Parts: sequence; structure tokens; C-alpha cells
Amino acid sequence: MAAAPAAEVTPGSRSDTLGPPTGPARFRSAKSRERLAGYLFLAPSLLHFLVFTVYLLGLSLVISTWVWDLITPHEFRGLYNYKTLLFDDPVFWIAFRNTLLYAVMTIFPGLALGLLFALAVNRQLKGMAIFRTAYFLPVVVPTVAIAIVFRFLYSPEGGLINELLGLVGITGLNWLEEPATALPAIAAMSVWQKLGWNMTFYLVGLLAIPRQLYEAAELDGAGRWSQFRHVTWPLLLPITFFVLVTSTIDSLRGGFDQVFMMTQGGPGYSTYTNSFYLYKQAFNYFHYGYAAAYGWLIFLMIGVVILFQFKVVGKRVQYDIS
Amino acid sequence: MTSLDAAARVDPEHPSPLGTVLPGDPGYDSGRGGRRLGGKILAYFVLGLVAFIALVPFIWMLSGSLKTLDTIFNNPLQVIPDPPQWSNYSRVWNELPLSRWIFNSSYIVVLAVIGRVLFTATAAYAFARLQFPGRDYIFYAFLAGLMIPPEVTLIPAFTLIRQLGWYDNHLALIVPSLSDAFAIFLLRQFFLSIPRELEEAARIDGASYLRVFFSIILPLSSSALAVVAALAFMDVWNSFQWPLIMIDSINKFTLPVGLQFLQNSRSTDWPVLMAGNMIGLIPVIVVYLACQKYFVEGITMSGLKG
Repeated sequence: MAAAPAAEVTPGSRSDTLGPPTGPARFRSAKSRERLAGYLFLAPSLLHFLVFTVYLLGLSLVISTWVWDLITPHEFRGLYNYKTLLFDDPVFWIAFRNTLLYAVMTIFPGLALGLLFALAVNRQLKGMAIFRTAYFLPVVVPTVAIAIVFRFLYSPEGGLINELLGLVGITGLNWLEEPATALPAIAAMSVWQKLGWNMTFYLVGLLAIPRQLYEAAELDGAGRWSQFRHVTWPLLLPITFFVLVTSTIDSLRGGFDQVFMMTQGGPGYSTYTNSFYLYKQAFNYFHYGYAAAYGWLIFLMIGVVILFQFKVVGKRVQYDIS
Repeated sequence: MTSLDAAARVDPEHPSPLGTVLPGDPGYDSGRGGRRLGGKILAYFVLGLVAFIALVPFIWMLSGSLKTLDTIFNNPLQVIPDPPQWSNYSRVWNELPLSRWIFNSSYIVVLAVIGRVLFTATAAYAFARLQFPGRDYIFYAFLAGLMIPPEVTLIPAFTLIRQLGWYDNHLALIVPSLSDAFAIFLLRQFFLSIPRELEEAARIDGASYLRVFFSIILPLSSSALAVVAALAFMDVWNSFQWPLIMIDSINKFTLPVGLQFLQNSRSTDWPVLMAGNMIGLIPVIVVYLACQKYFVEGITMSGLKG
């Protein structure tokens, strides 16, 4: 990601179609013109960034030290919100644990299934584009709409899943109403949503592995598993890492749309996740300072996990997104 | 053999996001001897299976939308209902302001996408081509901003928008969507790949920066701009939590918030719920099918959605 080389504008080489400068005030060097143009071109996005990122980040830090319900005047309490979250709010830890579980249940099955299906295909075929249209459909449409459909699929009466289980003689559960199955059911939906996406990525990676490597391995007497272990897997590591990091960032936020639409955190607290509980604290209980502090803890948690992934997996990967 | 297209395609103008280079090697399969045909059949089977898995929920939704509550309970595995209950569609269309929600979402998405494409393109041009103090620091700050999860700024964003008087107003949904660091990053990479000579010639002929941008850079970048537009479309169209928080009046709902309202009001009236959901999905599916290439490329470049 090298910085662009300096634009080569030879001073005085440009003329102005609008006519010659009319006075000393209008006279500007090519360089200062370019500078002005740069800032003007950047202005809308810079303003947006200053307001919606920089200012809001600062404001978020400030609000996180307040006890504030938006109506009565706020009260500065320092680290009180953070302390309460970490030491006096059992629901925070439930949501924290559920979020981690949700992440684990989405990321690893997602990676494994994506890789498995890609390995089973592992060749360029005619008509891939048509298949991929279907694969990406679940990612394109709103999660809200998908959640509504999955509530129907999971429904104990007339839901597809229980009907299919019924065909083989298994009595299905009320998946979204059982504390033990509600979160896995939501995670399963997320795995489904990303399946084709993961598979497409792995397929691209597999097809990029030079065939000669396998031939060489075969000559050395490597079996199929050994070829996978020593050729395929290491060469796919960059893909695995990309999918791992992006899915981690997503899932550690805790699937607000999914939880809000499918279970509202229930039954009990069994599907409370970070983003859902943060929303509850802010917009149902009006604890705005508390929710702001919560946001920073989510940020911290994602940061720590991603850092860990970079340390453990990332350093083995020649990773280059450009 | 060469048609793995967008996600896999090696297009010099769009390096694959992972920097992978596909072997355009037509003899990829050769040497597999007897396994070849069997492998091909298996491969198609798996491709079909995954496509089937991806589509089943949509098929089930369509099927459910044409049933009566009675057939859903008594004959659930009948995929094509007899007779199909098209009246579910008219019922949900008449009972809820679906058309209003689709209109709201549509005009919001159009304004947001136009604004975002324009503003991210001008910013990317500044980053890629123009020299000004602090340029690279600002660019890195933009990239750093990408790492911040939206949860951190949710509360202050809510209070800021309220202070601006935009609560329950579509400006609250449009203005924050007008720029995006990831789009700027993508476009900057793309602009860097355009040869400078074209612009320099125009500059020497006296064209202003604005002129160069609009008549040279933008026309050469239409496919990259379309990818950014596709990403922006998905981002804004599918956005749920933010409009849920900001919009209060039913008539001002965006489609996802409307679908949530639909679910709340028809909790297990599956036929009507599925019919409403189908109507809600039609616009996004039409746009997706019409502009597939750019959506696929955009989705492949980003780790979108969980």
C-alpha cells in the first residue's frame, strides 16, 4: 500500500482555460491550487468522518462516564458504568458468554462446511456464475426477512425442519423456545447465510493452487490426506484467515438483527448477546451512559480476539489484501 | 472452462481481493484419468446441493405464502398448494402500508447511494492523485475508523441526531450513509491503477481538476463505481437497527423495520407473514439479479454481514 508518488505538476506548465489570472489575489501557484483542490475533493467525506467518527468517538467516551437517561441532567460518575458492567451485572456476562458461543458456533462450522463443499467441487466448471447467484442471495437480502422465514422453518407446527424430522420418526423440538437450542438455532441460520460465500472463497483459493505441487507430492508418495495436510491446507491459510477475521468481527457483535427478530433474547436470557443487551439497556431501560460504556467493552473484546488471531494465525500467513 | 467469472476472474482492472491469481490453466483436470468424469458429476452434484440449500428457505417462504393456515398445519409438506391462495398477497398489501415502506426505502437508498458514490469517489481521487499536507495521515485515520464497531458510536449517534432534530426523519438515515471509508479505500486502489498520462495530458491542455475528475476518471471507473454502489445499496437497504431506533411513525418506516412490524402484528399467521415477506424481498432480488456482477464482486471484496 505504497503512498502515491508525488503528482508531477511542473510549476507553470498549466494554463487556465478560464482566462489569465486577473489580479495578484487570483494568482496561485500550481502547487497551492492542487492543495486546495485536494481539500475540496476530500471535504464531504472528511466532514462526515470528523462528525460521525471522530466526534462521536469522543462523545461516546464522555457519555460512558455519565449516568444519564436523556431526560434528567446527566451525572458524571467516572468509571462507574464500566465497573458495574464488569462486576455487578450478571446479564452482561451471560450476554458476553452467549456472544462467544454464537461466534464459535457460526465461525467454525462455517469454515469447515465451506471448505468441505469447495473440496468436493475443486475444479472450474461451466455454469459457476449461475450457482453463485444462488449462493450469494442469502447475503444480499435483509437479515430481517431471512429471520422471519427461519422462524417459520423452525416453527413446531408446520415448520419444515420438524416436518422433515417427523418423516424419519424424530419428534422435533420447539427450537426457538428451548434454552438449549435457541442460540444454536440462530447460529445455524447464520451459518446457512454465509455458506455459499465461504465456499466461493475457498473454491477460488483451491483453484489457485498450482497443480504441479500435487504432482510432486504424489511422486513423493503422499496420500490424499497427506496432500491435503501439507499442500492444500497451508496454501489456503490466507483465505481461512480472511474469512476467519471478517466472520469474527461480525459475529462477536452478536447478531442483533437475528436475535431481535427471532427470540428477543429469550427464552430467559439464553439468547442475549452483546449488541442485543446493549440495545435493551439503551432503548428499553434508558441507561444511555451504561450502553455507551458497553459499546467500548464490545470494541475491546473484538480487538483482543482479532489481535489474538493475528498473533496465532496471522503470522503464518502471507496476507495481502490490496 | 474460463467462466468462473467475477469472484475468480482475473481482471487486470480488478485484482481479486485476496490477490489470488487463478490458473487460467485449461488443462487443470488433465491427468486425473478415470476419476475425471466421476469427479465432474460429483462436483455438479455438490454445486447443486449447495444451491438447493441456499434456496430452500426461499422456496418454503413462497410455498407458505400461497397456503392457508389450515394447510400449513395439516398438510405442511405440500410444496405447491392447491389451490394457491393469492389472496394472502392482497390481504397483506391492503392491511399494511407495504408500498409506503418500499417507497421510503427506495428513495432513501437512491439518495444515499448517489451521495456515497460521489463523495467517496471525490475523496478517493484526492487520496490517489492530489498532493496536500496531511493526506496520508488522514487516509490512515479513515482506515483505522473502519475497525470501530458501530456499537461504540450508537449511543452518541442517537443523541446527536436527536439534537439535530432529525429523530423520526429520513435525514437521520440518509446523512450518516453519505460516506464510507471502505468504499474510499476500494476506489483509491482503483484510481491508482489508472495510468496518469491521460490526466496529465488533459491538465496540460488546461482542464481543471474537477473537469479531469468528471470527464476522465469517472468514465474510466464505471465498474468500480458500480461495485461501490452495490455495496452501498446493500448497506442502506438492509440496515435494520439504526432505522429501528431513529424512526417512530409507521408511515416513515423503512422496509426492514416494516417487516419487523409485520412480524409483530401477525406473529404466527404464517401465510400472510410469508406473503408480506415475499413482497418485501422482490425489490432487492430484482436489483440483485439485474446488477449481479457488481454485487458478487462487492460481496467478495468485503466480509459483509454475519
